[in-house]
Amino acid sequence: MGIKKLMEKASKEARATAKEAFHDPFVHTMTKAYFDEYDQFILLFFSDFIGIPNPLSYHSLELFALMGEELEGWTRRMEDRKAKVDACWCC
Amino acid sequence: MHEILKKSYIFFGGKGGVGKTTCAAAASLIFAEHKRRTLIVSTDPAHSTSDIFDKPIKSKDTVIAENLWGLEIDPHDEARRYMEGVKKSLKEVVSAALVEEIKRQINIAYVTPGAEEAAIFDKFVELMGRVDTDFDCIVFDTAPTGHTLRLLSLPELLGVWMDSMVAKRKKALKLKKMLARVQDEHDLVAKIEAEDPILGILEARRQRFTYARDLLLDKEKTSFVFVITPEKLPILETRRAVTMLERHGIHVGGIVVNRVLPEGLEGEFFAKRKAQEAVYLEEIRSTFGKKVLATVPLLEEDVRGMESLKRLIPYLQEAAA
Repeated sequence: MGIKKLMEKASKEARATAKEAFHDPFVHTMTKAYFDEYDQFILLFFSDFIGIPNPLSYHSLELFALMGEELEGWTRRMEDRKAKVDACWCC
Repeated sequence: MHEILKKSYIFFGGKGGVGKTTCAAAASLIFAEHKRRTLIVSTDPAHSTSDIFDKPIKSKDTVIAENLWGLEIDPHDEARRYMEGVKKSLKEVVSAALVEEIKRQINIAYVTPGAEEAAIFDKFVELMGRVDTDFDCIVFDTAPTGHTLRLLSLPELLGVWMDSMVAKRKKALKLKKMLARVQDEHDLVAKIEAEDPILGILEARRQRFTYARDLLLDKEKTSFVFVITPEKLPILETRRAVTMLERHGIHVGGIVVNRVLPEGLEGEFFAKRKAQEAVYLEEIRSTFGKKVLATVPLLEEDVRGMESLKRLIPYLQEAAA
């Protein structure tokens, strides 16, 4: 194996390690942060879907056409939550 | 009354049964006589404008007299139209599997508490936008105090709610964009940077609420007139309502004292009632002072139909003279 190839291999490994150590957790955290924010947003509009009465559901109807498709994933995420009770929705 | 005559939005409110509709109807006749194109709108779900004019008034502009139109907001009608609009827009976008579930949700939303109120409110904002084009002023014959105070505080409440929703939406989009960047999804970044239709709807809503709130708080355009009778409970309730409206910044234009016993009644019964009434009239004077615009006597016959409404006009106008 030539030195060049060895270098390439080392560099590739280093990149993979860096990705694993920094990039992936970052993406993971970001994804979680995004969904937390996004799910809260949907909850405030469509809590009726999961049985929480929402006095403003009338005004949120006009968002149905735009958000309808995303509601499916949202309902699933809501149901998957392990700790429904102590999840802090308000802050 | 002459101050009120310059306004564009005049609300008549008060405790149930004091004669809000009667006074609002008579006042709307005064406006029409002053050559102002006037619309009288009933926001009470239990309408009685038709009854007072003795004429069927529908949920569309109905001609009552020269320069005078009437309208009774039908919350079910408004809600149905809104829901149908939503259902129609669903056909174009959402996948077939979800449509059924969403339709079910729409039908639930139709009967949730607050739907009727929201429907009335939407129509109310729509009507406010017709002043200057179709009409010069709108007289609102409102529901009893509690219901109306809630209706008037909705723009404030919903405005705040909408503000936070817009902020949340923006924050979520920002996170999504950051996420798309680190994952090198350039198409998605471009899509997020383009106009967000959801944000568009939210902003449009917010503007409607702000628009309604600004008009309600505009002292030059909007005024609230309370109708009371010289009795204990209406005085107490109206005093609370006046305080609350003023705290919200809504201009209270005055008080109309309705159904005051006329002079010259004979007999012990009337003498007693008259003496008791004097106490309440004094209380009204000390509580509301200069706000008292007019005093309308109790008439010997029901007020119903044009002719009897016209009999009230001189009393309502007395303050203008």
